[in-house]
Amino acid sequence: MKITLKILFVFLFVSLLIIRPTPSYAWHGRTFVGVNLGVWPGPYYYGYPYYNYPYYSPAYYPDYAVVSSSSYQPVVVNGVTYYLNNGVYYIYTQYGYQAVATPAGVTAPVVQAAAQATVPTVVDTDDSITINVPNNKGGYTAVLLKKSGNGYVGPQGEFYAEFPKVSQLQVMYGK
Amino acid sequence: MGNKILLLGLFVLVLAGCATSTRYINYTDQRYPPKDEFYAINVFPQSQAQTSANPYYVIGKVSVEGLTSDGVSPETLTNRAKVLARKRGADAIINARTEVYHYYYGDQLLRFIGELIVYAPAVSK
Repeated sequence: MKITLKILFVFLFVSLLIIRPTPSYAWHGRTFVGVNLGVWPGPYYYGYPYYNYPYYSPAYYPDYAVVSSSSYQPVVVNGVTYYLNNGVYYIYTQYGYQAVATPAGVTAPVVQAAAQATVPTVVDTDDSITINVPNNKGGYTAVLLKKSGNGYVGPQGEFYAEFPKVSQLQVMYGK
Repeated sequence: MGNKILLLGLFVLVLAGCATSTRYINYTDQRYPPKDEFYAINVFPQSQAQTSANPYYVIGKVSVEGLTSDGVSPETLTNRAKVLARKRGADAIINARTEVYHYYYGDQLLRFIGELIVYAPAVSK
């Protein structure tokens, strides 16, 4: 028993010594330094979670995490390639990504208010209600709902037992 | 008694080896001298965007992860990342965040992700 434990101990120690480095998966093709300790680190496989695939349960398909090298999006402004990450512009140099001031001529993206999708404009008439549903083009689509008994009927004849939510209408009319 | 010590040693070795896993991606081939163990690495969360007023270079990305069942906490991961940052000669960590993945059997995987920066030397005008 004691000898077995000793052998096991030595085997574990030696195996720790000969751990191989994790191979490179970096998108930039740069070095990827890591140590594979034999622990399944998470639900990612090439950047996508296993959970998207019903038959790929993480309990049955363990693998090692692949971390993308960066989230730097290249942006060309006046012929110069900048990299945008978390709202900061960078240029790539031999020392790494150098933070620079926002290039001239670049305007900050306008973030549209999220409230517009939750509070639609509602126009009431006697037996119909018009709802302006935000669409994918940045505008609104007028959806006419007619009362039918205790529910409502949409433009395509679909019946809503309750007053539909904007998110429900967006599925059909937000495109 | 000897067996117990051996078992304890084995247990500690396994725990120490499996608690966290660290990955690092170089953005540059440039190497920077390591910082000493007392150097304070500032960690800036992703929500706190850095300005270019204090020029810096992003030299790499670090990812540290571990299971809560192994006693890993967000602080553990952050400290591991700081150790690696010192080793890589970084001045601070930016765009830091901790992701949590819940497993159906109740365990949680914590993953710290951040980017190492070095401040650019002041340019004399």
